[in-house]
Amino acid sequence: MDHKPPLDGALTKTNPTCKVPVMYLITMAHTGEALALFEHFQLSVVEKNLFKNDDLVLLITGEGPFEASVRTALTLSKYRFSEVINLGIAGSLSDELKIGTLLPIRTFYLIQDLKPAFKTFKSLDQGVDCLTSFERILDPEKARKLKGIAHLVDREGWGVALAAKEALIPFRSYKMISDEAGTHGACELIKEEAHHFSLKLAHELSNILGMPSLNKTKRPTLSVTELKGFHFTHTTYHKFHQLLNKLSIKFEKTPEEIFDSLKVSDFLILDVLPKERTKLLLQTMEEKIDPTKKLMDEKMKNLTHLFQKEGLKLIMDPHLENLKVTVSFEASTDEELHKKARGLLNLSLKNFSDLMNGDLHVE
Amino acid sequence: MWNEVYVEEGLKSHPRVLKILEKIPSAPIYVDRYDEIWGRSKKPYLHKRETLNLFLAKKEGQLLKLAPDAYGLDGEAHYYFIHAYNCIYECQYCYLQGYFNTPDIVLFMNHEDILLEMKKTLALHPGKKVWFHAGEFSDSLALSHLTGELSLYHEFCESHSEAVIELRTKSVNTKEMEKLPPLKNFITSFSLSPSEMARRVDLKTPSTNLRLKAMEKLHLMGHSIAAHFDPIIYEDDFKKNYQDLLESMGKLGLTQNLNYLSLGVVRFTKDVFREMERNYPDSLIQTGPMVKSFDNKVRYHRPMRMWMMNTIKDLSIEHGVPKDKIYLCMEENA
Repeated sequence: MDHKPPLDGALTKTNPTCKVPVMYLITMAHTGEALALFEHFQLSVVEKNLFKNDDLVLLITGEGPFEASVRTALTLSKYRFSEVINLGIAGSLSDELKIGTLLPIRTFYLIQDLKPAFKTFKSLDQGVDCLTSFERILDPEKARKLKGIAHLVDREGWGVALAAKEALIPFRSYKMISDEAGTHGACELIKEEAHHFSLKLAHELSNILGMPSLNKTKRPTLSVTELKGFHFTHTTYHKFHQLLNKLSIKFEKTPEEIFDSLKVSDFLILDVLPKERTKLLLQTMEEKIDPTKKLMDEKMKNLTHLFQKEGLKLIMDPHLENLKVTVSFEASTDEELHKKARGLLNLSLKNFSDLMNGDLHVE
Repeated sequence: MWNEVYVEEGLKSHPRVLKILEKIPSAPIYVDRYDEIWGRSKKPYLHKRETLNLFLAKKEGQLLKLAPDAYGLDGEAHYYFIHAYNCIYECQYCYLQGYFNTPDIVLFMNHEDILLEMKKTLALHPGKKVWFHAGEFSDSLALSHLTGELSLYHEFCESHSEAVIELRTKSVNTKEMEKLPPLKNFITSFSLSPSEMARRVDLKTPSTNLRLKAMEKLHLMGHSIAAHFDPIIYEDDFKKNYQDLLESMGKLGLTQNLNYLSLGVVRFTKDVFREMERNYPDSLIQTGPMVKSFDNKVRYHRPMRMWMMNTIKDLSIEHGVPKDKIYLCMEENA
């Protein structure tokens, strides 16, 4: 990712081990929701709707997906961010969710005139779904129609996600349920409870900032950078891990178990250069993935060799799909031409067509 | 099972809709048309695990579609009919994960329109056998206790001997079938894989053993049955595993009594393959040697898939499946 350098040096925090700047952009729709954050995080005013301390920037996006998107995009261009976190209150479309609960958001949907828009954005791997609406959902009938799309409704999340995704900056969102969408008097209730929600959100944000993003659940892999007697280039290293992962899936074993089963010590006694040893290890792994590969390679090599002996070049489809082959040769005299033509008569494509028709005889 | 149930306003008092709603505890949400909501947003496929919605709707537009080449037995006309979209199961190779924008299920209620279309289609092929396949976009039996349309299609086959209806399934929900008298031209076909493979890739489906038992039950009642070994997925012991499967089928008297057996090696469009990689990054399917093949689909290379199909074809014949009942599905020059 190619970030722009920070315009404000005071806004970057350096991680002593990896020297990657860690700074968050927190977006909330209303100042009311954010009130307690000002004190809790000792935020100072940068400009209208923008506040900061050394670790984070808080943006008040306002209501509406377009407003949120534009303001987020503008802010993203001003500073260097490691992540965008959208936080705030949302109305519940489900009667099973409890008011005051903070929930991670899985996917953001957008609705306009009560019709869903195509584009959706992922927030976290697990959680509930939230739809961002252009209008406030105050009618119970309207709210009911939206129940199948998402669990929650807000006014800005989708727009913030759009800006973050476009800028290739990781995005996640958490919403606190403030009311049941479509219930009468929801707005008044939210106003009355604003301070209470704000305090809770400030407290929850402290926890969230200490929490790693749930999306970083990659399969653990084994590191072989220090495997003595082998020489891994960037490409072979990548290939090794790819094959190890495939073998681990295929045999339902951990990468460590697969690695043990490869008997690396057997390769170490071979009197070859480390690069060649690595090639042999990768070959063995490939054969375990696809036992037909070795046999096919041999059959094709033999066939090519027969043509080569007659001074002819046999070209087969590298993807092994096309039943046709190309035979080519060079000649500079009639004698050479006729000799190669005679050579063709001694050759056959039967083995090739047998192979293409599945004659593998793998036991 | 259902997150929410949406019903088209125009079907509010449709007897079939009312019957379905009787069996669902939650109150429906009424909409003008199902596609106001269904498929308008890109809903991630795996969200079906937590928030699967049901839509009861009227199918507009094409109700029958001509099946692609090499779809069924040669020399006969093949169509598939669309009575539902999407499936309750979660097979890792399923093309539905990349086909629609949503995994939500639609059940179409206007079966009478589909039957009328079938009648018209029969008239286009006078005196010839015409196949109508169900299960292209959904499982044919999985929800049949809820949908209750099987008897309509059965009646159609009873009065139109030139029509053959195939109900393709991985379900063991044979209750509705059991209520119907057997008919030669009303065939239930089961998609089968060796047990271990089904465990690994046919998520949330009945096990192979249970499918075989359901198949046996229908066969013993005199119903017409067929099987699909499709998709065939490579594993080192595939030969032995298919041998075991065919032996189990043989013991239940199924191999000799299949109306047909289709064989097809796993294949994907580029988009579905990408979607599968996203949804199931640890799937066994991805470990195989896939290439872009003659029709731009992602498949194993030709020698491998021909080897697998020929091996399984030979095994099937050895286990009593008549040679002329076997066809290779979606394969060029096979």
